[in-house]
Amino acid sequence: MANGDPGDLGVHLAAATVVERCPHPLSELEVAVVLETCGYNANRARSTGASDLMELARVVYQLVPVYAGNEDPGGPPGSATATSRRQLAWATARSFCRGLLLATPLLISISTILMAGVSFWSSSVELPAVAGSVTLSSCLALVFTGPFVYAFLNRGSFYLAFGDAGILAYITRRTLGLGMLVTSLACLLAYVLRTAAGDAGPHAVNRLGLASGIAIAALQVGLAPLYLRNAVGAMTAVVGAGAGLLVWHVSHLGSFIDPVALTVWQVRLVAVMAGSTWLLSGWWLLRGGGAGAGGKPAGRQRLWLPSGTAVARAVAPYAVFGLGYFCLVTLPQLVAGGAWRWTYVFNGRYAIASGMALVALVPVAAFGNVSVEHLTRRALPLALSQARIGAVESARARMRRQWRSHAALAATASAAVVTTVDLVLPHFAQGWLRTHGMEAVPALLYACSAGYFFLSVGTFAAQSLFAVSSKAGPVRAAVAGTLAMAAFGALATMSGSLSWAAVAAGGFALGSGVFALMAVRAADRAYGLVDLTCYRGL
Amino acid sequence: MVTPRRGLRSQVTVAAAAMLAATYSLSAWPGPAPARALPGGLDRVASGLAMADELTRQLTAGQLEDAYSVNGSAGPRLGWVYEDAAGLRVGIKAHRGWAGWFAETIHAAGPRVAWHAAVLPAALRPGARGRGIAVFAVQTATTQTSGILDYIVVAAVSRGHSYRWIVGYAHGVVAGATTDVLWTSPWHTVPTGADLPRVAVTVITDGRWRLAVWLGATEVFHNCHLDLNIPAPFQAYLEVQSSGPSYSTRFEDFWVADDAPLRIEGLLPGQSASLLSSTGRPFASAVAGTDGTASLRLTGPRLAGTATLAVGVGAGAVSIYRAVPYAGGDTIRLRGSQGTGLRG
Repeated sequence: MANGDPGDLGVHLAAATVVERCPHPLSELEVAVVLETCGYNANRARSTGASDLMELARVVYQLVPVYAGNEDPGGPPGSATATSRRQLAWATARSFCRGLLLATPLLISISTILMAGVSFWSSSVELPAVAGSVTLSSCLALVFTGPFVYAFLNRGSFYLAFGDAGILAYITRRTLGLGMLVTSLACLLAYVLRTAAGDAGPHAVNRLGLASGIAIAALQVGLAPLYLRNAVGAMTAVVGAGAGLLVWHVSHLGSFIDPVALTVWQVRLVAVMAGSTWLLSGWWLLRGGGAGAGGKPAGRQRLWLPSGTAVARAVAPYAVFGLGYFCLVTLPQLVAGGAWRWTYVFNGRYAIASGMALVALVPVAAFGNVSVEHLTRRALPLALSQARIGAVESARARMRRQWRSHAALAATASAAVVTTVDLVLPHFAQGWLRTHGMEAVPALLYACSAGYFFLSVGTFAAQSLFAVSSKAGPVRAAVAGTLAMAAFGALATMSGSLSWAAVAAGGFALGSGVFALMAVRAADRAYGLVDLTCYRGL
Repeated sequence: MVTPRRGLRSQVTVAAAAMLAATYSLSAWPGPAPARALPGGLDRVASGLAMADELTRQLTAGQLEDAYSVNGSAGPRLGWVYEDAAGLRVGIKAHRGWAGWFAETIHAAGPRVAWHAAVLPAALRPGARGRGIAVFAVQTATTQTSGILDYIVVAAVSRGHSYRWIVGYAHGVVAGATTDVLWTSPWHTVPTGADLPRVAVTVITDGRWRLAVWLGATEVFHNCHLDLNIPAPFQAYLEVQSSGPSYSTRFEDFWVADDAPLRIEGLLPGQSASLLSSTGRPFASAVAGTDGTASLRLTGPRLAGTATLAVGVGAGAVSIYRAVPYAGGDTIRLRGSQGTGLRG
């Protein structure tokens, strides 16, 4: 193909759009007609890499057999036109339960962290040197794996829809393998710098930090394919077993917990969990996805092998979003440790406050996917199918209203959790919080809670935008939020009027607020313009 | 021929194994007690040495924090600590009011162990007003979870040109500990410009009723009927406190060993085993029972160290094993042919 690249996401979405409307086109000309009715014009065709609409139609026509082969016998998602409202409600309820199931691993891990009171993100750690080294590596691991995981999940879900195990295995290894490599190198660089900068000679604290960075990155990378496949059972088994072992271990340590032994144990446990997820992926999830010569997918999947540029173009926005998002979440830990004074010391007070407030993300984790799926796969086709050409604006207004109500629901759920953590929990469980080292300073906790509330609202809006292939909005929001957080941190640290923990909490709340505001505005606008060719963002 | 699927699985398995191996090896933490090589003919079956550190290595702050946690009310701007060939130096700069700074062992041990460190307090600077205290404390390790702040304190209190030693028991919660002084030495005068003499401090306590303290080889305090109620295990604090003037202290030869006999196995019934000091005088002896084991009772400052092991082989002859590192609770087994330096 001269211009259009069969690996380009835009071309595949065009093909999917055509097959939805016309499952068995007879010629390239018919494909061009369908494309035109779906809103494709010369400009939009050029944005996919094709020279004009006919060029795009030719490429799409080549792809039609593959898409038609994966066609759902029950009809495409848009066939919900025939679905009654009762069936729709039932389907929504089922989806919600699925969402809850999907959030189970997250719920288990967060509740374990809180119950055990031994996480670096939610409790006071006795040894500042160990805590500093491990939290620094944790931040690096999250920030560096974030882009790769986001890119993988979005590109992977695209290929997963076609049941293309070969290319899925290929990009799993390439994307996540590269992410693991880059993160390990970043952690290694941090180890070298920390060891060389005034603390010459290798020592156990820095080595432990490097080990924890590798283990956490490995777990992030290992869980990504499981999330992609919605392998809830496997995720719950791995995370649940790890959580259970941690609680069992801590409960058998007696009144004294050797902080070093516990940390080493935790790091190794995370590594074992990560190894388990890798093996699950290799032996089960990627079955049938063996590589051909040169590690590339074999057989008919050859058609799907994307060029490097096509992959980069398709995943770059997701990667940038992932980077910005994880920076926004994790960098305040470093700010609290004095990053703007070119130092880092673990800040237990901020860690406790942010760890408790983190729970505000749980409702969105359970509700977000469900809501987005409902909006894009059911509500949107239903609304548009019932609209006449002259009344498309009213259908769009209905979609916007629906999105707003879902966003309000997500915000309310998050606010309820925040209120519980900030007001109800300290009131009823003061003793428990104190004995678990979680007696946070109220103002810090409130600021962190506000931050996580905004973050969860922004996350929901970003999910909604990604679902209609609108990537620019979330990317801009995440980057702006991170910059706002960083700018506030720099200015407040220089002024010297606030403690480092307060600077971090304030910066996080501000950055998350900016992120939420921009993402919500972008999502509101996108859902007010949405139609069946909702992939316009490409 | 390797099929693609098998290739993928083996790649993932190898990668997971490599990741696990890397994580495990990187997270390995150095033990609190170094390995102690024995002379030929002896094997150590069990070790009773919980911690040991000569405190005379040239270490960076990072390396120091592999074994100690540095903290205190003085804060890092006033408090300082480093280790070199002259010992672990803990100090505090001039300030207002009482403040302290310490290196605390990150590992814990006890209750039935002996805690030992040689303390070399510095004298206050000429003309300095106020007091400086060099502290060797044994504190409950459960403070973080329980808030209990109970500890045994052995301290050299300096003021002007004089100093004295005290033994006390501090008890309280979080920051409000009260100290009961159990024993004090008379005030000693320090010549101008001279440092205080090096004193080896040894503390044995069960945290409940028993406390014994040695300064050097002298047992200065012993009581088995106290009401201490210090929850085990314990951690050692190498600490300085000052009421205002700058002050520092050196610590050396820190160790923690089981308060238990040294067992020598592989003897014939009735054979004797003795530990000899550097002057050749025996300070612990025992005769093997029918099981061929001799239990050598060690006391206070003698609970860990290096000595010569003499094993009687009959008719006045003994086997000599020189430079044997030992500790209370150790079990040392003699291999087949006894001794390397037979003498009559």
